[in-house]
Amino acid sequence: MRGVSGYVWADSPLHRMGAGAKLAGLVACVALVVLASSPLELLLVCALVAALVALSRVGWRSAARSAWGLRWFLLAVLVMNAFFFGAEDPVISVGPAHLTVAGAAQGVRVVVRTLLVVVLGTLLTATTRPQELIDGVRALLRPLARVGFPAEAAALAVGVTVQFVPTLLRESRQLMRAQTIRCGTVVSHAIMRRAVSYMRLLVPIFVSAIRRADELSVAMEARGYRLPPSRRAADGGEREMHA
Amino acid sequence: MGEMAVEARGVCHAYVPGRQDLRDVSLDVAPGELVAIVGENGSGKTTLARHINALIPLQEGEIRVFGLDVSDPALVWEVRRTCGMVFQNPENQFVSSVVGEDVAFGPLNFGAAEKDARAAAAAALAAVGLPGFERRDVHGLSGGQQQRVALAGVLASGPRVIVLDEATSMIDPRGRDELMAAVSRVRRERGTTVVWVTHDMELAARADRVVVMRAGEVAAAGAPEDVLADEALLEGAGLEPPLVVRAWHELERAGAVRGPAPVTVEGLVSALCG
Repeated sequence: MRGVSGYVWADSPLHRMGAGAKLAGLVACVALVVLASSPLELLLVCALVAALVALSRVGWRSAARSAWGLRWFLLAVLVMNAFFFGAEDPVISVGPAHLTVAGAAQGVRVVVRTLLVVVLGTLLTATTRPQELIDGVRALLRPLARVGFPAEAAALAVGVTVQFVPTLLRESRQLMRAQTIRCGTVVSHAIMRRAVSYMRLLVPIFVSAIRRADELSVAMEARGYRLPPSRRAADGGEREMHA
Repeated sequence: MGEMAVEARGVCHAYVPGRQDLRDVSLDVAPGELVAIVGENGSGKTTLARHINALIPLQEGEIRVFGLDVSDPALVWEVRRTCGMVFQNPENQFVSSVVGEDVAFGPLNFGAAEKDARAAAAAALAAVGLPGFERRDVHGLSGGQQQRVALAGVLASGPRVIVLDEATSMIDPRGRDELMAAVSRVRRERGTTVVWVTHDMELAARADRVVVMRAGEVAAAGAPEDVLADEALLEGAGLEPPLVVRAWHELERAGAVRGPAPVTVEGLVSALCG
């Protein structure tokens, strides 16, 4: 069963693993994705990610859900790379656009890397409850607190962001429905019109996110939350009351 | 007269220079009292509520919460510990999607040890009728339950005053009734003072006292039977009397009843059958 915030209820070694270890593993896997350049290396990383998906027992559909949502963006990335990466030995040339084998290969590389990172991120949120994630971030950042990094505030920021994801997703769906009622379905439009429709959605979603963040900051302050001492001293007491 | 839970004297506030969002507002709330503040949008209710919680700086006048001066920067956190605030949209108040974590947020901020904060969270959840909800996901709860979790989040810090700022406006009637029952239980068990900012006249009818705000001023204050039965006063403040009062006045005009209008359903039944 899929819960809010992308968490998928299941019992797997990945679900049982600590959030800190999973976050560190995510960083390591992303490093592997970035460093893999040859087709063989990328294939090996793909195999590793596929093994992790199988190990997580969240299901291929759940693991690929976020990646599927990016299909149009990834297609655009592939096309842009294929036509604008270089001009040497073009297969086809149309004005300033040159379709090259090197460009297409680069496009595939970028798309595969992006897909792998998205699937890895999905795996993390699908196997880690939000609070465990916050605790994991806090544990990972704790050593940095010694050099003045606001680890608590950063962990809280991650938690609040994760906390708002389902709310903003629901709001986005409502806005999309409202737009569909007034302007017809977004999906049925041609690519350019669809892009404009999505852009129109971004503004109200952005405004709503800011309004929610503002209300949350007031509610947090009312419940005694305050900035770490160093920031408080710098800002002054009067500023705190305004926040 | 003993110490007041909330004491406001000559409070003025302007968000923009030249505008008067609050004009010379004075208000007393006795310990243990439930005071409803009603008024149309922009009448200054929320501004006053936020002043009581020291969330906006006081520009003119004086507000004390159990003797604590809200304008004293050294007392800000003590004021907020003494006076908790529940906001309109429950979803915009949560810092964690796990109920227990969210409710323990306040006590931890006020310096409680982890174990004590967890215990306070469990007790607060029980007080609002949600015992054992610590491990639940806030997004899986109904609107009424979410708002009760928000109330528990405030109660966990042990406030002596709770300000509810339009806390029922985004939840369904059943959720509203659940929240009202939870607030009544908290008042009964803890003797907490409640200031309830609302548009809901049926809710205001159940308060000990009603304060009507109009254009940043206190237009009237008194017992619900006196204030909510005054159609002209409420109309002037952009409000409608409770349905019971409107029905009574219609019956009065038809010559079916006489006397002061009841403001609650129970009062109506008593007036008609008693």
